[in-house]
Amino acid sequence: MKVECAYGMESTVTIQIAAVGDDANMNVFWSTVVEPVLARCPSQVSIHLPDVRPLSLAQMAAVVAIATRVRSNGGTVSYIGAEPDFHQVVEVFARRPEDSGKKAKVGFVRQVGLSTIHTVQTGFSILVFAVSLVVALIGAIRHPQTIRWRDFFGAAAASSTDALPVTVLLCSIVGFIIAFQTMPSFEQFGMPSMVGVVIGVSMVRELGPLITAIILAGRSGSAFAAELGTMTVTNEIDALRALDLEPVRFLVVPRLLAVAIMAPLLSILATLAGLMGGYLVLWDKDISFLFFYDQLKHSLHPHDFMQAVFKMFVFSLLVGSAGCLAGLQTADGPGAVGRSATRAVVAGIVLVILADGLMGAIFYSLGW
Amino acid sequence: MTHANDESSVILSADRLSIGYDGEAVMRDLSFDVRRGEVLVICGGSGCGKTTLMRTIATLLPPISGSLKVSGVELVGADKRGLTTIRNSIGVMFQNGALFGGLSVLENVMLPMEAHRHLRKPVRREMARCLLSAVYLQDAANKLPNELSGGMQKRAAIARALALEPPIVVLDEPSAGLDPITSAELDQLIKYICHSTRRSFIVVTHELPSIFEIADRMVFLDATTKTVTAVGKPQELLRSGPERVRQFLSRTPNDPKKEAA
Repeated sequence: MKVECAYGMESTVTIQIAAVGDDANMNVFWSTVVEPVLARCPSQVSIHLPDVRPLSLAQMAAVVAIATRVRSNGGTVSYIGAEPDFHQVVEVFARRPEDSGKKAKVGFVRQVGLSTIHTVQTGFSILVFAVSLVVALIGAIRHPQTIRWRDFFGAAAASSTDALPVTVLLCSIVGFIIAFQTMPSFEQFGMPSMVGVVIGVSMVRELGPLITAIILAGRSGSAFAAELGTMTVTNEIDALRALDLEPVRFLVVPRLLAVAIMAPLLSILATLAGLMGGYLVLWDKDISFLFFYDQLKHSLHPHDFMQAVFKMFVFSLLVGSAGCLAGLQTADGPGAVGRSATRAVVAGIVLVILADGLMGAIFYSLGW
Repeated sequence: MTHANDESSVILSADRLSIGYDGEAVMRDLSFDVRRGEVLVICGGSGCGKTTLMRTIATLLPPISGSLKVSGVELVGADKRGLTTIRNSIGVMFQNGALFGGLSVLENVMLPMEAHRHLRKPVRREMARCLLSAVYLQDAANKLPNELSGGMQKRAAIARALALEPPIVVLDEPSAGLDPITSAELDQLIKYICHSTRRSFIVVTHELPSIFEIADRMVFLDATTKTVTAVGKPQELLRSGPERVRQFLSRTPNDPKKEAA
């Protein structure tokens, strides 16, 4: 845009806008003409308009910016070479918000108060969810025909057979690594065969269920949150409530029952895979499988296996609940479902590790 | 609106155009044109292919055969440069607004300018504010799309469609889901922008009040014959158009006896 800008008296400015130009010229016009005029804010401005109509949006923006600024300071703007109704055209583009549009700053005390209220509300909603979940589970057990079996089998497949390859792979690698890392120390004491005991105790009592639970949180927890979150965003949850169908009973119970039943089974297979992975290192040291099996038999007791299955049962309930709760609490907005899935995974893993620590302490104090 | 007749130069023309998905034609032999500065309404019953045609014009679906010229550039077989020219010539408003939820309304309108113009930020911001003012959303500039009503979202989407000052603006069902007053206000807005900026509007709708209010001409798509049944002014087509078009425009239900026969 070719621009001629003549400054007359101190409070009077005349601007001439010539033919339509490219963006580079418009940038020059803005910085050399519009911004100085906005800064000086003269009381009278005459704008010479070009012949070409309609004005481009960039030209109109320049006219509007100057006109708005000058008039807000009580000045006058005149348009030369304009149609009689040009003032009205400018008005169409010159409506501006009455306030600045900036949100008022929230004070520290108010912020603390709001955070506290939010935390209490979150805690209360978790409590409500937990109570309604227990009620729904009892109802489902008393009336199994009310369970949506299609959802149950879908979730069961997703949390067992679909998750089996990755769980087995990871657990076998972890078993292999533990054996590999502990072998040199035991070899120093001339007891390489004791590695089998370490693998057995760590995989059966701890790592088998823990790794399975973490994979479960990443796969099923996030999937539950995404499924229910999408249903929340698309008002399907509201539709269920409007049909007098309780979402917890209708959607959460089948998913939770599925993971609670299938995850312990998955954990058993994962533990076996971990033991086999560890045995690979022992096999390399010419330790027979029968000897390894014998060591496991002497170092592990039936209650160790029961403990592992019980732990996995608790983990699956925590992961499933965290996923479903995150899904049902999905807010509006484009990233809401993604945020719910993230929250489900993080909450699931944190809950699993907290529960693992707590149960470990309890079992230790009981002498198991 | 008489300016459409004054400026009768064609800016978009379809000639024996076939459109559809995966090579399977939904509509065949579509022939019509859009003149500079007119509002052309594409209408027809549900499932007749209105949105498919809109998506084809917006270059989101490749045409199957025939010819579709936009600003003199042939879309069928167009290379990347041709597609870019066509896309810069067309602003699109989708049925649900399709605003980017993570950006404020002002940022939504500024986004196309950031990508395709080389203007400084203050210029872009002022241009976006002008557009929001034109669609009566000056107070919603800093709000997120989910804080707006359906009508406001559609107006914001129109502002975004106008951001690059395209000669053609395509609106998909602008009145859908809006109350009659908001719908009428949107019609007035479309007419005003079309008249004042001399752009061409292609409006896909089956809302009869909107058709009669805004259309300079209309194209009627028939789901049965899978082609254009009529092109013309709505009032004229209501008086002397094909039977199916008159039935559509006069909102007459099908005769069950005729259908049974």
